Amino acid sequence: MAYGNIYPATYQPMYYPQAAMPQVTQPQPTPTQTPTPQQNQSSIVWVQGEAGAKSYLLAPNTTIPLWDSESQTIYLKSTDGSGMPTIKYIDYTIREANQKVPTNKIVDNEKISFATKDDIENLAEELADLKRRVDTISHRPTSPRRREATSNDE
Amino acid sequence: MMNNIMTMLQQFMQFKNNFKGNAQQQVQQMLNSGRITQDQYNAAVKQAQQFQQMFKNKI
Repeated sequence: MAYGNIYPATYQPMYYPQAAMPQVTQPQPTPTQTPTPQQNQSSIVWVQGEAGAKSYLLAPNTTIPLWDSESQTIYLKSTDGSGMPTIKYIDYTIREANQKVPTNKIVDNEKISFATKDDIENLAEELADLKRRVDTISHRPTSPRRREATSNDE
Repeated sequence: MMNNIMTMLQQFMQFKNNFKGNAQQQVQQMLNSGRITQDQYNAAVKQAQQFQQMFKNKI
């Protein structure tokens, strides 16, 4: 027994709109960019001695502290707009946590009194006056009494 | 490891021999013109120092 078309000739297969619809492209999740491995960029730049600091190149308008690996010095190197470098030298000391900062080296400006220019000029005038007086005394002729006294001594 | 270092050294020597001009001047010009940034220069110096240390230890 042969199985023929069981559907009538007028049958139209059911329309499946989903199949006919163009596939909506789903937004593909953008692959998350794996961060490039961060280089261990500590802020400390070590140089060997002053020569190392001098030869360390800087871009214009840049300031960078350069740590000397041979001594307790930091070279604060700066460049101006034209790239001209200048170096400031900072010497530091290392102390233990329980050690106190020596205070005797700290200068207390309030305890120091300064002389003004006027003070010095006044002092200079007084000195000049004193000098004049001494000069007049030394050039004054000696008195007769004094002359007698000196002759008796002889 | 040793072979890698030797190859690297050979390549460096080749580069050094072919290099013409003042290296420091050229790098300074690159910094001035902005072709390389200060950070890139700092990183390169740091890497060079590490390599230097490595060569000192291994050779």
